[in-house]
Amino acid sequence: MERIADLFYSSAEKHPQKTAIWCEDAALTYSELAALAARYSNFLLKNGVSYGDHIGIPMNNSVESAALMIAAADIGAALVPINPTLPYSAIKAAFASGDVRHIIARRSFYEESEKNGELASGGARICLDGEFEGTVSIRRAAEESCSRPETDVTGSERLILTMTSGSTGAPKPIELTQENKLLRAKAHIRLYGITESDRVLAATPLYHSLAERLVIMPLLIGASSVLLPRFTPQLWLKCVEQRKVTFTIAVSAQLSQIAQLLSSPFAPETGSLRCVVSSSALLEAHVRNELIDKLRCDFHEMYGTSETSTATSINFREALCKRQSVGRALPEAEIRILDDDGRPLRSGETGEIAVKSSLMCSGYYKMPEAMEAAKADGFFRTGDMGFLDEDGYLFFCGRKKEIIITGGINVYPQDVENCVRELPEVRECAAFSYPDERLGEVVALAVVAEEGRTLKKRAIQVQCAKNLADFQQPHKIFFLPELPKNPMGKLVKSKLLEAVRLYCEDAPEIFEKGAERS
Amino acid sequence: MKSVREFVLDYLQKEYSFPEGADADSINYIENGYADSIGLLKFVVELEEEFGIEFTDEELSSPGFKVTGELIKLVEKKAKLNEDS
Repeated sequence: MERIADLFYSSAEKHPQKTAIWCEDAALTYSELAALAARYSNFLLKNGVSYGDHIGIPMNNSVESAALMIAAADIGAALVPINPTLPYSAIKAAFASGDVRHIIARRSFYEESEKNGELASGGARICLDGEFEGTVSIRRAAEESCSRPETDVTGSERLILTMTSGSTGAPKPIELTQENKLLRAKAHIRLYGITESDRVLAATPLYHSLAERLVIMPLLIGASSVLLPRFTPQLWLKCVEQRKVTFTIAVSAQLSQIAQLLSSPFAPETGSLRCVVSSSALLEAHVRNELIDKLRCDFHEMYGTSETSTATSINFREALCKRQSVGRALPEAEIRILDDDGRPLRSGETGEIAVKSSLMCSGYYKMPEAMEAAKADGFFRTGDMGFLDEDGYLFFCGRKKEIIITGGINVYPQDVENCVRELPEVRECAAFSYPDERLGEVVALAVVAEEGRTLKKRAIQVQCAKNLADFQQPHKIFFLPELPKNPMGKLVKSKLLEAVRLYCEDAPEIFEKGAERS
Repeated sequence: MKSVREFVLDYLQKEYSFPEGADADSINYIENGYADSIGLLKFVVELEEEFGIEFTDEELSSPGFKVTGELIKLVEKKAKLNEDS
C-alpha cells in the first residue's frame, strides 16, 4: 500500500530546491521541509510517541503543523487536531474522546491547563512557542537527525481524528486513515487537474480536513503549498498575488467577502489563479458571477461532508444551464435521495441527500453504532435536503439537521442552548440561524426569561463569552414571551424568525457592537 | 490578575505570535487577522468582564480600537476611572 510520507519524500528527492511550502514570511524548499519533518519524527519517537499513539494538537496554520502531519504519518501516529479557540473544557472533552496520549500545543494552552486541571494523558507534552514548565520545547527537534526513522508503517494506520461536534455536545471523532487521506488527495488531484506546476492555497483552518487536504495534495506530487494563517479578504488577495497562487478551495463565506472586496475600485489585480472551488454552502449567483468576472479563472462548486469528502462537483464553464446545481457525483461517489423511511426517491423529488463513496471516512472513532445509524443501505445520510434532476445533477435545498454554518464553521444550536440554560434566570431558549451578508449565517438566540426574574443581555453575553468558542457566540439575542411550539408542545424552530419579527420589531439587537466592528 | 497589556497581548496571540521584531503596539489586529469579526465579539466581552468596564459604541467604532497599543491605553484608562470612582 502507498504511504503518504513515502510520496512526500519522493517529491523531495525529485525537487530538493523547489519551494514546498510558504506560510507568511517563511518559505521552505522540499529539502528543508523533508529535513524538518524527519527531525520531528525522530523528536516525537525520542519523547515517547509510539506507533498508533494519538497526539492532541490545538492546531494553527503553520509550517510546523504541516511538518507534524508528515511526521505523524511517517511514524504511524495519529493527530487529533482541534480548534485552539474552543474553551479549554471542550478541548479536554475532545481529547478524552480521541484517547489522546500526547499533547503538542502553544504556551497559552498549557497556561489554561494549569488553571483548569491538567489533562491526565501521561504522555509527552510539547510546547510550540518557546519554553513552558513541564513541557519540552519543539525547538529541541533541531538537535535530532534529519534522516527518516525506520518504521513498519503500512499506510493503513489512523492518521487524523477530526471532531464533528462543537463545545458541550459529545464529540464524535471522524476517523481518517492514511489510506483515506491519500485516496481523497488523489481524487481531488485528478478532479481539478492539479500538476507539479500548481501553487495550492489553503486558507481555512488546518484542524479541518479541507485545509489538511489542500496542504497534503501539492506535497505528494511536487507542487507548492501556500498556507494562509489568518483569513481576511485583503490578506487572501495579497497572498494570491504575492505567491502567484494557481488553485484553491475556499468556503463560500470567504468567497462572499472576497467578491465584495473585488467589487471595490481599490481591489488588487490577480492574474495567477486558474481554478477556484467553492465549498461548504451554495454561493449566491451574483457573488459567483462577480468572482468569475474578476478572477477570470475556472470556477467550480462542490458538495460534500467531512464524513464523505467531496461527493459532487460542477464546473460552471461547462455547465452553464445548471448554475443552481452543486454538480454531479464524482466517479468515486454515488448519490441517492431518500425519504424519511430511507427509501430512494425519483429524480425531481426532494428528500435527504445520501452518499456512498470510496472516499468515505473509516467511521466514527469507537462509535461504530453511530455510523451504522447514520447509514441507510450503505449510503451515509448527510442531514442535507436536495433533489437530483434527470441528468444526475444535484440541487441543494437546505439542511435537515439543525446546524448553523457561520463563516464555514458548524455550530450546533444545542451547544449554545445548553450553555445559556445554565443561567437560572432563563426559562427556555433556542439558538437558530440568522442570515448575515459577511458570514452567510450567524448565531441568533431567542430567550424566554423566568417569570419574575430579571434577565439582562449582558448576563447572556458574559455566560457565552466564558463558556463558548468565538464562532459560537450569539450575534443577535431576542427576548420573547414564549417560544413557538406545535400542539404537542415541541419547539418549531422554523417559526422562530417569524416570532422574533412579531415580538421584537422594535427591540434593539445586541452587538451591533462587536459584531459589525471589523 | 494579569495586567491589561498582558491580557490583551496573550489573548491576541493565543493562536499566532506577532511577527518577531514587530512593534506590538502598532499592530492593527483586525486587518492582520489576529481577531476576526467572529472572534471580536468574545474578545470585547471578555475584556469588559476582566477589567469591569463597558465600551461605548463610539469607542468600539473608533479606528484606534483595532490597534493593539491604543486599545491597551483605552482599557487602562477606563479601568483606572472605575477604580477612582
